[in-house]
Amino acid sequence: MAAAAAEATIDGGGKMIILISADGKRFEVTEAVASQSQLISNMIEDDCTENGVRLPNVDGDILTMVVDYCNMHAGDAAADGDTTKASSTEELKKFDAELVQALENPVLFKLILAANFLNIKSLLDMTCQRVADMMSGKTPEQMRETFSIENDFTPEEEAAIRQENAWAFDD
Amino acid sequence: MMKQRQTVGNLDIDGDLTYEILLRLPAKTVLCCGAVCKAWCRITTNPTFLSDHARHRPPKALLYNSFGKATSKINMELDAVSVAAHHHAAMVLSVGADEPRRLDVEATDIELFGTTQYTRSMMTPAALHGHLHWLQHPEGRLTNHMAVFNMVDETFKQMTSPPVTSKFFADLLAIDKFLMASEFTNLGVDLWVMEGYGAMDERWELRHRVVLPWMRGVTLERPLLIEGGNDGDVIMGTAYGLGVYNVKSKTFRTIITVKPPDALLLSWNMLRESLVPHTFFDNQQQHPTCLPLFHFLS
Repeated sequence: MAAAAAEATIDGGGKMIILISADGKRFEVTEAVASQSQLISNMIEDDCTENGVRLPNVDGDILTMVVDYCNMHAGDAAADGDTTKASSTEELKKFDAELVQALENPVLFKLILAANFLNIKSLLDMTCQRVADMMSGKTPEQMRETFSIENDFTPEEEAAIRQENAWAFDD
Repeated sequence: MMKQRQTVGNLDIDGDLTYEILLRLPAKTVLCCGAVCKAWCRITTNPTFLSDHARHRPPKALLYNSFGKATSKINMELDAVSVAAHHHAAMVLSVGADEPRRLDVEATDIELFGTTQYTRSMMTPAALHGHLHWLQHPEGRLTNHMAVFNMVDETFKQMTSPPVTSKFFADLLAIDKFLMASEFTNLGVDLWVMEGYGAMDERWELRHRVVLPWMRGVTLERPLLIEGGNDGDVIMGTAYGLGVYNVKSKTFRTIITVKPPDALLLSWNMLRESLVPHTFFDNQQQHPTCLPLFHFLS
């Protein structure tokens, strides 16, 4: 295992692995790119990526986004502390913003699930923050509508909760 | 084979992810979420969630606007200015006890010192490597040393002060795992870094000279705000502006500036929203007259 890790460092993580989506689409990426996913990073360490990595709960269109994101962010961690990083940080921010801004809710939620399953912390952070930003300032009624949530409180229970922190509910 | 989840149109993603999302909401919206459904209410009232949430909130500086000075009452308006887009867990010192405990330390008589000058510096020590650091503290014993308190041994020791011109314009900060000292100068802010912390050859080096991109008041009594944020950010504020310098990228980001005769009245420290209930308020309920007169305009 130590030998494999050393090899990856020498050739810059150039070894390729195949990711296979739920609908059978195949993506070839370098180990360096793929190992931003903690799940895949662990699999690489355990030497079980030989025949491709099957991701049964990530669709091809979602995996395309995830792979794009990982390609863009590869080397991000390695460059940390580099003073020339400032401009590329701006580019990354722009890329990230554009990636999540355009998404419809169902797609955004799928991306969150994928980021969670693959354990890519920065992507999970970013996508959850996007949903949080959309929710910010909404009333409970609006949130139930946006997320199709059924109100399972009795009117008395709901009134009591609102009463407790009444200041949060007046606009 | 794992079951495919239906996620179309609703937030039917499992509880962990709902937790992750609610964690990133402003406090007011979190309270509203508690009234959405029972599942969300369980999350938003969970003490672990509340302390997690407080740590996730971005640091904010408060801007004071006072009006109505002519009457006997002074009305203050507070504006919270968020200074960070990205934020991570902040350090929380937890004592886990309800009662104050007297430390077995022989302390220097605090009355030897003009306390007002030291109050602010004493209330905000820089915490790093299990030690609290004060630039000006009675335990510096009138020498030019900094006082350092070991939180494990509960002992004080002294440490070489940064070679700043005046401690009055200087502060200690713990940033990016380094102990730093800031000093407001005529141009902006100098940042000294302690190299080799705890080693035999520990020494102060001047590493950053930050030029503030706005006017500095000639008669400015004191810099208003300087504090370490996350990821190498140093938050700097004076009477005419507030911005963030990053010690890693060596870049400066301006948050707000004003032109004279306007001036900023900034809080001394950064604050974070928190929904964690504090026993202070329970105690106050027995003596409602002791409550400070805050009126929240939302």
